[in-house]
Formats: sequence, C-alpha cells, structure tokens
Amino acid sequence: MSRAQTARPSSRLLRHPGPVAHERFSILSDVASRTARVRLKAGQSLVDALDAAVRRMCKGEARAAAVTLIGGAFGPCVYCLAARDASGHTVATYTPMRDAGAVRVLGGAATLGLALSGEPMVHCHAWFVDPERGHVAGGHLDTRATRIGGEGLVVRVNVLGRLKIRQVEDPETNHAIFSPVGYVEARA
Amino acid sequence: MSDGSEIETGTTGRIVYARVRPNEDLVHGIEKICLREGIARCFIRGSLGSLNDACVSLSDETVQVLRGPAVEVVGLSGEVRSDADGNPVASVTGVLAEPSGRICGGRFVRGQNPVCVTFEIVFEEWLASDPAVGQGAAGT
Repeated sequence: MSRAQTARPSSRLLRHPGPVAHERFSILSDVASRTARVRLKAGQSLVDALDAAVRRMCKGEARAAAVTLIGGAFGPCVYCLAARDASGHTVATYTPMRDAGAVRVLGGAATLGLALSGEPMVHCHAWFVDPERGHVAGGHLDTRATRIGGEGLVVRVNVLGRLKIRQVEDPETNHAIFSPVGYVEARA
Repeated sequence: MSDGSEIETGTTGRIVYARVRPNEDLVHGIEKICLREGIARCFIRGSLGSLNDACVSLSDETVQVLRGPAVEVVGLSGEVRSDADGNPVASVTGVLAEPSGRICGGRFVRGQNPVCVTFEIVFEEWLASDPAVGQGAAGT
C-alpha cells in the first residue's frame, strides 16, 4: 500500500490573484431548525421555487437553507463547468452555459441565500441524466434559467435556523461567494 | 433474531454552515470544523464546491487523481465519527465533474482534495441516544 501511495500523483495548491485571507474557515451554527420534504412544482425557476417553499415554511420570512436534491426533473437544465481563466483574473472561471434540455435529476445540493443585490440566490451543483441518450452530466447550474421539470422535483430542505448567508466579494479569488454573515434578528 | 446490522438511534442537534477557503483540504477541513465546533458525530448535508484537483479512492487499491482547475463536486455524502480517543474522522464520498464534463466519483482521500474557489459544507449534528455507543467527545 505504501508503494502505491508514494507513486501517486498529488493534487496541487494554487495561488489565487488576491491576498490570502487570514481566516480559512467561516463557521456559524444554530440549533437545528425546520426540515421539510418538498415537492417543487413544474414550471418555476429553481431559485423562485426554493425561495417560495422556504418562505412558506417560515411564515413569509426569507431564510437561508441547505437543500438536498432527492429526485425529479429539470426542464430545461442550464449548467456550466469550471474552466481555466486565460485572463488571470481568477484561477478558475466558468464555461459558457449549456442547455441540457429536459433531464432526470440524479442528485445534488443547493444553498439558498442572498445575492450581492439582496435578491434571493441559489448556488446549486447537480448531476443528471439525459433521458433520450442516457448521457450523465453535471455541473454548476444557472438557477434562474433552470426550471423544475414535468414530474416536479423532490427536495429535502434544512432551514439554517437564523443564519444569514449572503454573497460577498472575495478579494482573494475575485469571485463573489456565499458566506455566513450573521443572524437574522428575531421578529417581535 | 439479528440480521447483523448495527442500529444507532438518536436525534439531530445543531446545524452548522461553513465556508472553506482555497487550498484547505476538504476532508481535513470537515474534521477541523468538527473539532472547532465540538461535534463528535454528524452527517454532511447539502454541500457543494470546487477542488483544484480531486483525488478519490475507488477501492482499497485504486486511487484516481482528476485534474482541474477546477473539479466541481456535484454530489457529496458523508459522516463524521469519533475514534477511540475522541478525534473526529470524516468519511466522505462524492460525484465529480471534470472540466471536460466527464463524471466520476469515489471516496475523497484525506489531504489530497484542496478547495479551489470555495466549498460550502453543512453539518447536521447527530446525537446518538443508544447508551451502548455513548455521546462521544461533544462538549468536552
């Protein structure tokens, strides 16, 4: 076993364009809060469907949530992959979006939080199969262009207590990244 | 009558959301966060992100390195348990999308999966109620 390990090619560390942040982990916790199995209805965008479901679970309030994709369909499913950034502005950027059409969802995860603009935003990675050709693919979804498909989509939603998750500018990577930024104040 | 399965009953405790920054190892990162938060056992939920390169084991003998940047993690599941000394040990598997679009998967090899841009990890604390397995090192 040790011989195999010494022969193994190893993963690389990569230098990002900006100063390295001192704090490497941003962590917030809360007591476990509402969990639900939700069947999202066909036709809505993924971000609208999840935002509406979480608001219904939380008496109309917008809350952050961690979502596990259990099964169902997207139609269309619009996604991209990671790519090298030839400009050097970032270490990794995205390929152009590709439209996979109607797909059956095999799995994935999503976070519901707030974009830089304050609008609801969903970061979602998923994998899926093209039912016509049987081709399996996956990547980073455009959650506004991706819509829930004909059979709906079953998800498990964990509302993250009172945690506030918001996209923040990250000078280290030159990306805007979801980060835990505090707690929602309790409504009187 | 026993079928040989181990059953551990319990309840869920805290929920923890963590953002892991570039070049931190995914498996070590999960274990460090458990140490910091005093979590002895948990399930990994709703987690996603990217890796510089990925290194996964397909079996005890076979390890595969996938070249990025970045390799997107499109599916992830796993748990953290405590060893006999109370140290957290993460066991995490995933489905990966290479820059070429090829999909593969395996168990993440500790120390060989550096985060690329970001990794979001959600931990669901597991409070085992079975006295035979105890409460681990939480809160000590």
